[in-house]
Parts: sequence; structure tokens; C-alpha cells
Amino acid sequence: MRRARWFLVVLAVFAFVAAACGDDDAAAPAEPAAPAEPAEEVAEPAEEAPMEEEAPAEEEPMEEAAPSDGSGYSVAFVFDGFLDDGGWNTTHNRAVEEVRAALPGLDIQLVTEISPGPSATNAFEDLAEAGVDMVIATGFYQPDAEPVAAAYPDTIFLTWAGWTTTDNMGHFDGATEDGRYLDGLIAGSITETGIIGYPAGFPIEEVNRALNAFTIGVREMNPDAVVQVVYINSWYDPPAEQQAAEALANAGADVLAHELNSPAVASVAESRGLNIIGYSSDRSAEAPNAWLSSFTFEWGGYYTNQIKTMIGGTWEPALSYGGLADGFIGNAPYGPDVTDDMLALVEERRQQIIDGTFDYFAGPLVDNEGNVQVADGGTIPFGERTLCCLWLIEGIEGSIN
Amino acid sequence: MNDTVLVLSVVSAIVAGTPILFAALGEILTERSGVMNLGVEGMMLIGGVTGFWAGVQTGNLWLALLAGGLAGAALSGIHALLAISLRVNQIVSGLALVIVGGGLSAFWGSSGDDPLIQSFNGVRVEPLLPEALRDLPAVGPIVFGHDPVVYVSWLIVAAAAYFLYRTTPGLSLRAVGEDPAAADAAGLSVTGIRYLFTLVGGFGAGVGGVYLALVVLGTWQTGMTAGAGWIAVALVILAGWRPWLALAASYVFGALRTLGFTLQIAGVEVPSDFLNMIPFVVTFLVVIVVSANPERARRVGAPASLGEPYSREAR
Repeated sequence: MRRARWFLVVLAVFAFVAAACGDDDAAAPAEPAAPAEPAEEVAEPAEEAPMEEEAPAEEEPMEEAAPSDGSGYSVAFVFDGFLDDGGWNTTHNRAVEEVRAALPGLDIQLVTEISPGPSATNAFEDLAEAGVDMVIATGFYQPDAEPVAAAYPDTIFLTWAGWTTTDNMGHFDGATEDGRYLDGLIAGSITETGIIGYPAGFPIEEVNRALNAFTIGVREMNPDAVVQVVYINSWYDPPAEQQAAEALANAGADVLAHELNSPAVASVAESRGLNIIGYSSDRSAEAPNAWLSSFTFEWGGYYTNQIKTMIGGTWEPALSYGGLADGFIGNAPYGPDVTDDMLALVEERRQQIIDGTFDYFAGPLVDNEGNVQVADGGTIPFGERTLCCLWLIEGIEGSIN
Repeated sequence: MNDTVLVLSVVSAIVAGTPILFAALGEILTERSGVMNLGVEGMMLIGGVTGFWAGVQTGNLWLALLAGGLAGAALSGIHALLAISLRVNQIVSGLALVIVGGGLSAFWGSSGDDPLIQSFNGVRVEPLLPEALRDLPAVGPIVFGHDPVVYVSWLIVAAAAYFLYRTTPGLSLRAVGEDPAAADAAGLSVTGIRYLFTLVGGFGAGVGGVYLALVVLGTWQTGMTAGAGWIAVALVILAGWRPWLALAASYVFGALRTLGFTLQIAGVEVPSDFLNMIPFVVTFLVVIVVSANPERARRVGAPASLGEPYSREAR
């Protein structure tokens, strides 16, 4: 019996070591490799938009400070998942590589798989205690960062989709809807059954806003088409994503779009002969025939700019919300089923949005329960978009309740 | 493509149920020998990552299934050593296997310069039978439209049922699980048989993991089983340790996961968390119903020595 107990202890230790290895390693591959480039080549006009624009409060900081390669400063990036999810975290990891290239002397730490909540607060405290100059938290972390930012005034915190700034805490978000409207134009042109399946995570403002813009794009090309949404109550759950996609395909969808992070939806589209609009990442490798397009997030310029102003001493807290015109949103390469006609329209609309001469949110906008949400002549102003939407626009089948 | 929602949903259920079926069949054989291995989730993960790696390397589905099965069997070997030779608590050892398998697969899947997690699955799985059969209404997609692995799983169900009830080695297996002392007295190697079928169980779980990664999801993702291994463990109880019932139950549970979204599309709001609980709630109910009647419990219930280490001297 004693021998058995001894073995249990050894086994338990082994198990914990193995589990810990798994966690740590999610961060490791980012260190040596620069795997970001092959996934997305964003060579579209959006990228040319000058990054300096997105933070107008900071006037020419780079000229005053001596050009720095970041030496002597440290920045930590905090992720809610692992870097290789091929979706959300991969977009941020790609941006980290851009920061690394722009500021080779900067000390960069990557902290992965930190769920929002108490473990995030602990991670932020540890980083601030270690003297990190700036913590860039790439998920929904404002509630966890707020008390830590108050306790450690020398560390700057940036979180995604936060809503209140303090002296040392700012926030950022990308206007997904800009890219999603363009994706919708393509989906609407492609669909033959008139049903587009859209598995999504949670029915929150960001998701609904993008879904509404997508549907506006779809119905511009095909006024009778519907977008069927299902919420899987997770951002990353490959089996659930696969099953949701199967269920949508069973219900007659011939184009799938999604706001989820694994390649499972693309895989279903490919194996069932449908078309796929991705989410923030190029999935053409997983679904060479099914692939149509996707918007992408381009955080690199924003991060680099924020770090440079921090180094220059001119950093100001801000709520930075950027779309196509600000270079926050780009696009992945297009697939074989996207015709030149479709591309011409997409490029025209893209330029109009960048120039400010076209507003896809121009009223009237009616929700799918028949209520007028934006009156004729009205719109959802860019600065107020983050408050939208707790409603789904006409043409969406599904409910946020 | 003009099949009804029902037909398409049945096809989805079969695809979703197949990984669970492989794992459950393996676990049935393991538990029939009297060894309870709760580490199915971990073995599916280690099998899945190994098989996915082999699939990416070779592009061959069968080699991938073999590699994943062997990896699952290797992990179950740890359990066999602990549970059979060292006679440690089988529940603790099985749970540790879940953690080890989860950790090792996450480590392997995301390490290196070209991590598996970013790899493209190069294995294309085509339907086995000619298109004329597959195009038949309803039965075409449901019976004839599958990939070869699904048909292999059906053959294995039949073979396992035949083996358990119609062959002498199958009788030996059941004897070891029911009364190892009597089996030992009859000259059977309790230790040998338990080792063998613990490894077989690991092989089944590994194959299930490969099918999930390569065919169902088409990708390797950390923690991709998301409870499928636990469903398999529950399913063994639900199926009363019988292969044919496991086949039916796998497809019912496979249907449940897609059903949540099908209901959502139809406008019926059922929280997916509730649907995810159904396999386990149903298992509870079956266990309660079965054990309420001692006679039924004896007929349907677990192998009598399930989970009990056997020691010749300890009698």
C-alpha cells in the first residue's frame, strides 16, 4: 500500500509538470519564429492609411524624442488564449512581430492563456510589480486592469474594447463592421440558396454590429437573402463551431461566414462544397476551394505608435477606435470564386468608406422585429458605434435573447 | 443537395458520433476486463495529436489512424502499469491520464518552428461507395454516403459483439472482468488479459481522437475533444457495456450536439449548456433505473470486479 501511495505522488507531479509544459509552450513558439507573414499578406489600400492619424491627441512625438529602438523599455502583451489559434490571438501576435521589427531593442514579454477575471488581475499585478512599462492586454480586460492601473501609476495599460480611460489606462478597438460590410458584398453576390450561415460567439454589441454591417452588404447585392446566425457561447470551441456549421449547412446555407476563431467552420465549408468567409484570418490553406475572403485586424501600427509615444514621454490616454480609414482593418487574399466584378465593387466601396463618401449605416435601418433603429437620414456615427448594437437588422434570422 | 434537414442531420450525427464510438468501444473492452480507465479524454487527445501529425507527414489516413491508436495505447500502458501491476486506485490513475494526455498533446501540438496547430490537414477523406448508391434518396447519404472509416467502425462493432459473446477468448475476457479469482483458478492470465485490453481501449480512444482531428474538425486544436472522452465514458455505462447499444448511443449523442444549433436555427431557444449536459443526465437516469432493480442490475450492470485490482495473495 505504501508503494502505491508513493507512485500516486510521482504520478501527480508528472501530471502537473506535463500540464504546465503545455501552458508555457503556447507562448514559446512566438519567440524564435516570425511565422506571421505567410498567413496574411495585407497589401490592400487600407494599409497605406497613415497610422499617425488614429491618435490625433499625440502631436509629432517622434520628432522630439531621440529615435529609439526601444532599448531600456519593456512591454508585455497579454492574451486570453494561445498565440496559434489562427484567429483573434494570431492577429495580435502578428502585430507583436511588427512591433519587434520596428523596435528591435524593446523587451517584449508574451503572456498567454489569461482568462479575464481574477487570474488576469494577478497577471497584471505581477507584470506591474516587475516594472513593465506598458501592458497591452489584447482581450476584454478593463475590469481586471482598472484596479491594477490605479495601484501602479508608473505602468501604462492598454486594453481592448475598454470604455473609460484613466491617467495610465487607454483602450483600443477595431471597427470590424467596416471590413464585414465589404465581406457581405461578396457573400451576397455568391449565395444561390439565399441563405448565409453565420456562427458567432456571443450576442454582444461588437458581434452584432459586425453582423449587421455584413447583412447590409449581403442585401445590397441580394435583397432577398437572409443571414442565419447561431451563437455558440464561446469564442473558441472547435467541436461546437463544427457542429454549428453543420447545422447551418443542413438548414440550406451555401455560404458560411463566422465570428469564431478555429478553422473548423472553414473545414466544414470545404468538405461540404460551400463557400466560406473567414474571421480576421486567411483560411485559404484549409479551404482552398471554399475560400472567399475576410477582413483582417491590423494592430501593429497602433501598437508601435503607442509604444513610441510612451518612450517619448508624450503618451496620452485615449479610446482609439479605428476602421478602414485608420489602417486598423485590412483584408486577406481573395479566393477563386470571387470575380473581378465583385472585386471592383468592393474596392470602390472600400475607397468610398476611407474617403468618407459612403456610409453603409445610413438610415433607415429597421431591425428584424420591425422596429426602426435608425431613422431615414440618420446614421450610427463612427464615434458612437461602439455603443451599438443590441438589435439585429432586418434580414438576419436569429435572436440575441 | 436537395436532401431534407432530417437526412442531413442524421448524416451529421453519424460523423459527430464516430469518434465517440471508437473511444466507447475501446473502453467497453477495457472495462469488460475489470479495469476502469477514466483517461479516455487524455488518450483521445494524445492519439489525435499523434494521428494529426502522422496525417500531415504522410497524407495517409490509415497510417494516421494507426499512429494515433498506438499513441493512445502507449498512454493507456501507463494506466495498465499503475492499475494492474501496482494496484493503485484506478480512478485516480485514470484522471491523471486525462491531465497528462491534455498537457502532452498541447505541448506537442504547439511546439517547434512549425507547430501542428497551424498545419494544414493534407488528408482528404472521400466517400467509399459509388455515386449511384450515394444519390439514392435518404438511404443514400445515411447508409452509403460515408467515408471508409465509418464502415470500419461498423465492422468493429459487429466484430466486438461477436468476440464478446460467441468466442472463447471473449468468454475469458468477460470472466476476468466478472470474477478474476475464478478466471485465475481456471488458468487464465488475469494480468495478461487486463494489460491487453487496457491497451486495446487506449488504441480505440486514440483512433477516435484521430478521426475527430483529421476528419470531423480537419484541424488540430489544443483541447479539441472538449469532453468527447467523458461522453464516451458515460456512454459505456449507458450502453450497458454492449457494442451494439454503444453504436446507437454514439449517434444519439452525436445528434445532440448538432441538435442544439438546429433548434436555435428553428427559433427554439435551448441553452447549449443544457444540451451538453444531456449525455450525462441520461447516464444518471439509466444508472438509477438499472440499479433500482437488483435483478436488472445483475443482468445489465457493470462487470462485477470493475475497478478492483486483482491480487492473488490478497484473497
